[in-house]
Amino acid sequence: MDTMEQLLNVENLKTYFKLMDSTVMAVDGVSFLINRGEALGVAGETGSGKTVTVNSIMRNLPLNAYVTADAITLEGIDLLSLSEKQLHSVWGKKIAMIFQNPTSFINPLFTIEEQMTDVICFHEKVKNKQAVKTAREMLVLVGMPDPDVVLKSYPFQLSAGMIQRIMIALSLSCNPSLLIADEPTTALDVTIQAQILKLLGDIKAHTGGLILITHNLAIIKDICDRVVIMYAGKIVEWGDVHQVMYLPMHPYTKGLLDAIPRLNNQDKRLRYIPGNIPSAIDPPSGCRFSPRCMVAVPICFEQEPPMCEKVPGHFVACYVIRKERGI
Amino acid sequence: MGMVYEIREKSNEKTSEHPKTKNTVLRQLWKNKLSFFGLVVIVIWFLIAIFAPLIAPYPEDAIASSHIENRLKSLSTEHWFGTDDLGRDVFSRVIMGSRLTLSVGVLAIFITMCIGIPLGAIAGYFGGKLDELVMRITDVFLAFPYLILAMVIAVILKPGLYSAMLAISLTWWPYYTRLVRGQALSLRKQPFVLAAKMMGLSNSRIILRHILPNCIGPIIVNASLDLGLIILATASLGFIGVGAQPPTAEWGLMISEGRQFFMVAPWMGIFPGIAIFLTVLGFNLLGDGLRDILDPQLRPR
Repeated sequence: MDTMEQLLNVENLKTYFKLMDSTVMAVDGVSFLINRGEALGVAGETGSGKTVTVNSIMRNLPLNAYVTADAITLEGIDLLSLSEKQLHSVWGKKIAMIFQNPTSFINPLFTIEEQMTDVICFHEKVKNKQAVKTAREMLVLVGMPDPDVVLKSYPFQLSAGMIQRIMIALSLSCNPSLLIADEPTTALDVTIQAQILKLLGDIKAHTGGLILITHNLAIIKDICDRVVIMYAGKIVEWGDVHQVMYLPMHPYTKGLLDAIPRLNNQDKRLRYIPGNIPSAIDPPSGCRFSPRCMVAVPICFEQEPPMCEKVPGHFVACYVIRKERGI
Repeated sequence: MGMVYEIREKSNEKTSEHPKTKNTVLRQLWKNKLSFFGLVVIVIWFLIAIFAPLIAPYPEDAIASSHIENRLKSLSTEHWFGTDDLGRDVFSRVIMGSRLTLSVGVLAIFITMCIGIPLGAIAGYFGGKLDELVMRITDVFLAFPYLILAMVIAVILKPGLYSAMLAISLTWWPYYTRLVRGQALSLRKQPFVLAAKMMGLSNSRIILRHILPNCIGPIIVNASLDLGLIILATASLGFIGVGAQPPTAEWGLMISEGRQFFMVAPWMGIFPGIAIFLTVLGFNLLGDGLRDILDPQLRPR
């Protein structure tokens, strides 16, 4: 662990959005770190604050957003203090992001070659011919068959899976240290999803680190080294992916894993977690999950549980575990 | 296996044709007979303008000459459109005048676009105070009827054909700014613009490659329709007297000069008038046709 170089360090990140008469606490004290060569999965249901967290790191937020943190450092650079102009040299070169719905995120008017050479020429300052070669190499890297045909095509002539590969290729063309993938396969069908995930896993070796955001726990297990489970703007559990997936400690994590449908499930009904996520404007006091928790005890409703390392490398914020393990 | 299947399908579907080539636009224009007619008229006028000295029997009449002995002669074989009050061949003056009209029109719209489009793109893309500032300036310009504003500017700039052209450009640019700014405002929220930003592209690069190309459709439509209006405006300014000055063979000026002699020699004013009519009609028809073709296709996703 000590030999690993720290890539991204986020400490106590809070992001809130000012509305006319209220404030939405979308992310309320999130801390994690990624080492070089690691893939971190960020899982949680819709509204848990996963996307806002990475957007806060990328500083891609609307004007009414306020971000505070004790630290957000990428390779030693303090991202919080950067001006808009300085951010332009971080985006693409240090961090790159790929999004859901790949077909929306590509310009429909230009061919793939034109768009890729545009980005490559901008960053690398090379001539067009060289950029085309690089583009072709990147397409081969992401496993695109017939790269020459694809280069000359327009986005509408290609399928969503191919476009997502192109977006990955584009993001990697500037050799960023960190790649953030925000639900990259949610809009794709399952077979293509498997291919893209494999690709992301292979890519891990090329970039420094990967953050994979998803609400699908199954895919996190495949390519991530560690996982962060978020709920209502807070991290409830995080640690080594096998630890968390196979020996979950937090009731929410257990509920999420139980909710995954299994083909050999004896029950006739799907398991689910009753209730809804709490309001981000007026969150419940104490543990955010307490209203929906099956095993909550009185203290859960009064005080927020602190994050503790129960097992080495496995952190959880829950009182019930404390009681169980007698801590 | 699934991957190979996917690519095979795509290769079959893709034809060798570039989907948005001139071929397609011309072919679609051809389908709309009226707009194709407009295109033909414009092309004929451009050819006339290019070969004017060869077509006009008395090209010197368009510059400066007078044959008083020949004045106010009616249509004849030597003078197809008759002669004016100074004995100059009206036909030659109309033909040579097409050069002025078309070149001034094209130049005027070019200058208009050079001023209006960048301003609109910057205002729309960056928003905020810059946008407010640009919008208030355009508000001031748009508050005046353009002809009156153009008249004032032309008078200030010392009456002349090129002053008229400049005056028109200076009154016309706000329309393009408004147009492009509206497009830019909606485009900057588009996902692919965000993706480009996250890839580190600079703002100028994003405006050039992502915002402006998506605006071209409405710009082209407006430009082709505006060319007709600008030609009318130039002629109007010439008619009033603050545009082209005698002895220039500008159509508007010719109509103005023909006014006095309308009873005696109506051909002096009628033929330049018909010329203006045909040119503006051509541009209007072409513009309408282009709008039908370009607008629905170029709506951003």
